[in-house]
Amino acid sequence: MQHGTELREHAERLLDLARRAGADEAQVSASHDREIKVGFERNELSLSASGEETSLRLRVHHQHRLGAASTNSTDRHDLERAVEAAMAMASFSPPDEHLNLPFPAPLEERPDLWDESIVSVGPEQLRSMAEEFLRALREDARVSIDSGNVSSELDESWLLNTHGIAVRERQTRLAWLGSGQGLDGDDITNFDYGGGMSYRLEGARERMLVDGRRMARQIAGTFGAGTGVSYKGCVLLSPRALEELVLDPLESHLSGLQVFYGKSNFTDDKLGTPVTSPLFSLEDDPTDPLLVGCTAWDSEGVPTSRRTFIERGVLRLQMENAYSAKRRGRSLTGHCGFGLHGAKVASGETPLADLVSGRQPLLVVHRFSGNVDAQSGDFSGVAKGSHLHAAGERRPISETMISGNLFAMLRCIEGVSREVETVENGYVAPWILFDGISVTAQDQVGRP
Amino acid sequence: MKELLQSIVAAHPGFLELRYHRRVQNSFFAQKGRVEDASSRTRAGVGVRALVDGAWGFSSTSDLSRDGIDRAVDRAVTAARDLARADGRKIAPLPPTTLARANHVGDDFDTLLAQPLGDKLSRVMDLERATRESSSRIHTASSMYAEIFEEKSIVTTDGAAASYRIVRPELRVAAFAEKDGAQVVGRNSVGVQGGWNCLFNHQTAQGIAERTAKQAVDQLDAPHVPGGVKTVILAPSIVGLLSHEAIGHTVEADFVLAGSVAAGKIGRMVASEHVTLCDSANSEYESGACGTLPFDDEGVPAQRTTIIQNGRLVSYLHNRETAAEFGVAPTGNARAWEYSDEPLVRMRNTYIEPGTMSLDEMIAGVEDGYLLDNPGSGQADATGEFMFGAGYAIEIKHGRLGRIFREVTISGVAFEMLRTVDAVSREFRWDLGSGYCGKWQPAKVDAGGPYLRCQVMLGGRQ
Repeated sequence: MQHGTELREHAERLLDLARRAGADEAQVSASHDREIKVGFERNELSLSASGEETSLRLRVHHQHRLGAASTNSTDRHDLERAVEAAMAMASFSPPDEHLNLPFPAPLEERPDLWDESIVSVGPEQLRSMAEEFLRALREDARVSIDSGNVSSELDESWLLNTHGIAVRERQTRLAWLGSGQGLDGDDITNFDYGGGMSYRLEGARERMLVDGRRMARQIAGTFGAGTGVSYKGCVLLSPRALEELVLDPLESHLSGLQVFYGKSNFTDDKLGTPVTSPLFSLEDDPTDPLLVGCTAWDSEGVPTSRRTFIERGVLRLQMENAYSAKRRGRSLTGHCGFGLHGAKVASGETPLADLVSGRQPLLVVHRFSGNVDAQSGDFSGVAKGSHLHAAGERRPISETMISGNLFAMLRCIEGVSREVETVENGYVAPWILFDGISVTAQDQVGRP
Repeated sequence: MKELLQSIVAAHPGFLELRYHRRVQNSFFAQKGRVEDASSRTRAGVGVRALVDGAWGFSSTSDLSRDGIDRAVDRAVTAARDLARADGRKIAPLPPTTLARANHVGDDFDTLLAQPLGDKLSRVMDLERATRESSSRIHTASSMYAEIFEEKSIVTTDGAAASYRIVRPELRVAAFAEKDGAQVVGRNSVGVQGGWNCLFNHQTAQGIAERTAKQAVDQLDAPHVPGGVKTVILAPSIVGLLSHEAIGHTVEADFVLAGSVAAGKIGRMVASEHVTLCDSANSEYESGACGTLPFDDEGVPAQRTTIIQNGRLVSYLHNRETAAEFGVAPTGNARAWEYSDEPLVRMRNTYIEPGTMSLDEMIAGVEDGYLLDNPGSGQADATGEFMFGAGYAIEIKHGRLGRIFREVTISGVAFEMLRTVDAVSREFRWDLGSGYCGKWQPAKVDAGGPYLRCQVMLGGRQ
């Protein structure tokens, strides 16, 4: 692993070259990553791999024109070429007076995400962990693991700009990932995948095994999947299903830049007004060391902090970066890429068991595989690994599709579970019961 | 670089594969008259694979000096040796096979490289403006252009010593319209292997702009498709997505060995006799398919693989290791996205062979159904259960095209659905060149085919 000062020196050298080339403002992001992983394929260890790389990314503003370039070489000649490329790009771009880079601001404290015990994890220890993870994934012998891996990752990064921002972050991660399906004679379940990570070695193994066994149980629980029923009504979405169906498109509409372009449903006049059911609240938490988005600054070096975007249905805030904030006369929020660092959907009052009971038919969607038009909110896709509660029983189903509109659905929330789940260390969410969703199965229409 | 790699493998006692890869990607993104991205990204390095005592070791380095690559070789060998000590399957030595020893420069590589970037950005901005101005109902438009210049050299201890340079430009356009607070979007994209002009083989820039804007405007008042199983005619873009997602993945040999639905079905009828499905490293029927390669990332020369012949499953897609396990020749499907990625079994240009009917004849034969076009994203399971989006649907009633409907997702089980194919058009087109396949790492692929008439489930409204 490179020493942090060496990485900073590369970044400073590139920043200096950009200044000398005539950039009015410049920003350099430098990172050094090392990964060691042991992979498995078809239920057996298959590969031991390692890699290490230093990357430098340069953004320049020259006469209010934007250019950028990146390289994975620290050779002086390659850095000069990157500066030439960025300046050339800027020379072609039309001017935009709202382009700007931020100035330094105090950063909040964050938990130390560097663990020396992960630094010293070698291939042999990883191999042993991969074997354990594989065993957990195959707790039920009918589960066949197509591929996956266990890895140790070290990342160190610096961000510098010509206004004096110079921030550093470093992380160690132990990560695990697996994908597979159930095979029992001719009965093949839906494909599923899952994973997780930990910044610390302590406790990582136990969490890895819990994740592996949970995935195995989820897959094994969908053997014998039959046809569903078609109806319009309530559907219960798992925390996992909320990501693609709800969180990803919502991020787009919470972007200040999208508001500027007229592409957001959450326009400025809706701030302070209800945009969803009062049962729905969404915050961003970049302070949580259980989430991969735990960070003190965004990719412009702007401080991050916990922020509430939707509070009991009321729109409270939009995400801004340096450009959108200046363009719209808003404050920076630390969301350069207009994505939430650690999304948290608030839990509700209702036990999960109560959300399920008494409503039939009820489709419980484990994973959504489909298309969501982030613009209109229209979605349709397949409910994967899912179950139907009907006629007094709970059974796995296949070939069942759901369809609706995100914005209509968010206003028709019937209940939110008390229980929450951290999904692949990316976000935290409860189960949410939505009404008004179309469910289409092969039942009434017959097989094609 | 190839010579340096050759000198390194020459001294190595066991199987070693060195892959140099340099990628330069220039990208522009313009929206509502503003440039949001104008960037150039360069990434270069060497990926090393070693097979030691029946186990694979892989390492990568961006240090392109002899010492840097030697160290990466040591790491790969050590990793393989360590893994070999674990219990489990041991990989047999790879059987000898014909390996590439040529140097290839793709069409238009040098021409596109020489074309000024400023000229390209200016055209991207013109396209965005033309889209925005195509209709008063369009409030915002965007256009994105990217060109990926790839240089690769593959050298192995058992004879591969080849290199290539190819370029893949792509263009994406979107138009946004709004009515009574409801937002809609029209999208179009094209990706080719070749030069700037190849992007406009089928449509002019103005045509793309107008088509994209029209898609958005048409959707403002379009109803939703009712859910259920329907007769549909799939456009070549959707046929390509179907070939790739629903069939192609299930016949990738690593998935087959993991238990995909295609396992054990070689020689069996899996589709109607109208269906012949292939995956090719060549650009069949028309030039410019994006997945075209002179050889794969193990050095296996380009070839076409017939997967389904007149409805019968005849081959899987292989790398050298899986081909050896099945006792067949490798099909040239080992691909790695970046130098730091290990090669996996991936598709190239996947398509269904054209038939004999015209599109008009196929439409005339539909009493009640839809014509689906403009693919969205798609996924498929090892079971062959697939889903993918169609940007819009045109109703077919009594053999005539009718109203336009909104975006819809279709689903089915691939081998069941292929049995319902009753008509295949003679028109053929590659139409998925702007797409990327995701299987742990991206891959630039293409797909296409004729128009195809079949039955699928539409995820519509109840």
